[in-house]
Amino acid sequence: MINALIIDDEPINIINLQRLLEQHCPGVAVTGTAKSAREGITAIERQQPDLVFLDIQMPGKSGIDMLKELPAPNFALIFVTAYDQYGIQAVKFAAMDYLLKPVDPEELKAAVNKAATAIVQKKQQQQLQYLVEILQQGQQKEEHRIALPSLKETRLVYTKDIVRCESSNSYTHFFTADGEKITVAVSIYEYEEMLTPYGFLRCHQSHLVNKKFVKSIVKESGGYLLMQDGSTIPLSRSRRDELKKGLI
Amino acid sequence: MKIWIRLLLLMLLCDGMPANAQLIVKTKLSTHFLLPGINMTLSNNFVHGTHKYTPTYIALPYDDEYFTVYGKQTILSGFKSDSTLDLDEYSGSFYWDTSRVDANAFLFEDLQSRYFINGTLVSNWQYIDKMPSFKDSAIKFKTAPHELGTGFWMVKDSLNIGDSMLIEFRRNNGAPFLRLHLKRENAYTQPFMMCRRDDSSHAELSFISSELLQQDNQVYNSLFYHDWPGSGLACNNLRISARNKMAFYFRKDNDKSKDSIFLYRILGGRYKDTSWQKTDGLVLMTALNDNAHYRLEVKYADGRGTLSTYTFYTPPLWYQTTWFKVMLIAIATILLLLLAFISRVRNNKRRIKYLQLEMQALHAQMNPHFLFNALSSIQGLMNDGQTDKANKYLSGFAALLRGAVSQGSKEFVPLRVELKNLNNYIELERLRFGFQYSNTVVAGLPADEINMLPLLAQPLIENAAKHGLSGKRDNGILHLDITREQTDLLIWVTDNGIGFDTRKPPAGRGISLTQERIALFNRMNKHRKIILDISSSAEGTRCCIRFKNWMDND
Repeated sequence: MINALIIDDEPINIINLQRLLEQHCPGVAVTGTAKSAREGITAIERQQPDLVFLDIQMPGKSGIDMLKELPAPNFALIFVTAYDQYGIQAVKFAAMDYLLKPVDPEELKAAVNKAATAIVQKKQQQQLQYLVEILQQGQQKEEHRIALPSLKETRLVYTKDIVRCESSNSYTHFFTADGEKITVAVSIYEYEEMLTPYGFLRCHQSHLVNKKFVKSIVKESGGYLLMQDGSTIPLSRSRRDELKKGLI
Repeated sequence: MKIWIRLLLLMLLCDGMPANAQLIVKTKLSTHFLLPGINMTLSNNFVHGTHKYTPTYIALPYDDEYFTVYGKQTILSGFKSDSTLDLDEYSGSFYWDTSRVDANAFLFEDLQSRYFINGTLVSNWQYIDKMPSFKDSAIKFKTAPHELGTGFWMVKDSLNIGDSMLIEFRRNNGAPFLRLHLKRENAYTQPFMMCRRDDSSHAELSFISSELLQQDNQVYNSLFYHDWPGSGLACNNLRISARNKMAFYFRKDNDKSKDSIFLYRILGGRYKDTSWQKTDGLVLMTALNDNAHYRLEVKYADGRGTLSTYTFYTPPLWYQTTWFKVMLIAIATILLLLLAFISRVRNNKRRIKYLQLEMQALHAQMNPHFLFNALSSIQGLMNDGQTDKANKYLSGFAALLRGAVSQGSKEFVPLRVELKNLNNYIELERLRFGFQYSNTVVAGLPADEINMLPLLAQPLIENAAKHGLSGKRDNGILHLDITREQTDLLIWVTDNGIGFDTRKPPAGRGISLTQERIALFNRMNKHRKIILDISSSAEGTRCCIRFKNWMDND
């Protein structure tokens, strides 16, 4: 049985999650609840949970702030949030799982299953570390890293080292500056949203490029981008003018 | 009949007139007698002929002729009618014999004259061609030597006021056949302005002192024709600059003492005093206004004669002119129109801003946090089997959504709808934060008629719930009270939460949104006003929205 802790300031939410877990995730036993970040820290220390459901927005200290204070977190973590752009950004960068309220039981099951796998493989700590690292990243955007969970491992990559992303169905291939290719099972749509603030541009339905690696805009044969690594990236016909503006 | 005569002037100058004499009327009129054998000229400063017959000709038999003279200097000159002589410049009144019975009736050489003053013989009978002679510029030889002809002075004397003179003519000791009677009358009919000075370069005091210094020269030492009649310099609607200072000099009166010869007054502009001032000849006018009409009146202090009146005006300054006033009105009109236009544009902008704020208010209420948290809470109730409660909150939530969708464009909603919306909202927040809630509405409010700005109080409630009460759970208390003070409607949002510093700018968008909406409403409304008052301490927060004059049905 997975020993789970729910941290949420709203009792009805705790009850809700408890009932959902009872119904859909028989492998999870909710052994504790906490109504604030402060209570949560105590509960984690006392209970040593395998899995924590954490609300991001809580009065006083937020779920994110709470994580920063934990000395050596060693549990699988699933964020539960209604709506929090700032918090979600870090969670996404760390490739952590999160659930949106109201909670979809299917998503809950998938997240719990993933967490269960991580717990079995003892990988839960690593993922948390990524998050903590990302949370502790400074204001310098250049130094920001993103977690790329490939099939074998999760890689922390500097956004400035990513040349481009290419989509292939629900997978996304990352091409880094040193010629490496990392494939993750996340749609390119997710990364467009995450990487746009870092100078990335969706130039084509299947392509997301880092603007600083664009060598030239070639006009012939409908127009394409020549990247510094020699690759050529097609330009979406309908958005060509807009793209050129964005590139220049 | 336009012949000019310089004769008289010449004679006067010969008579020792000073070179600086100021002649205002340059041409004097003389009276000429063109008789067979002799041409005579009677010169006086001013002569009125009173001939018995027609004034333009005389004929034999000659009789007595009467003249009123006003001048002192009296001269009767004559020269021989001679076909070799030409009249040069002659002007004045002419008397000539039209009968011409005998061209030699009065041989120049036979003519004698004598004259009396006041009955006393001054000069006895003498042949005219034996009398003192002079070169008469009025006549010239037609033939050689082409020089001026010779004139003779029969009378060269002066007459005082009231004096009479009789001049008689005869031929070779015969009986007198022509008598000229002259009587000098006082011609001082009105004060006589000799000169006028403008000055714009000196300051007032130095101008006055310099004019006072000049006064003796100008008035007392000038050898002006003291007997010249008339009013002297005319001054009729004269344009002068307001920066000028004026001095007027009036001719002295020989017989009068120095002081108070004249009375004068200045009317117009700053001169309001209508009483008469004394002067001995100098009138100063130093305080002139722009755009004013002036009138200087001068009369003799002893009441003789008539009033001398001089008028002048100062031109208006540029801003006093009619065209300027017209322009001003035009510009003002244009400006007003412009202002009206701007205010309309601004009102429109305000209106747009207002609606934007309304939309934002709705958006604030329907913000994602609230939406999803509310939905999450309802999901919790459902999963916990609290179906009734879940139903209730779900319909409350739906009502709010419906309001947002359907009332999105409404400026006002009835108080009843507003209260329902606020209650729905509070209940949903209560589900999340678990505080206690009560509300009171003062009795007798026409809740369907009173218009409210939709969701104006919502940010206050949100603040109370989220920041004030969220940590307190069951111990938190929220009150929503509607009260009334005279024509004011008041909405109170009171909580016993942790409070906040009202001096600091509000953290969330909510309160500043409310403040903006209130400010904008107040700018757009004169009578109805909204006043937001927030007081907060560690014991709680009390917000009061006062809708001033809201119950006033005007």
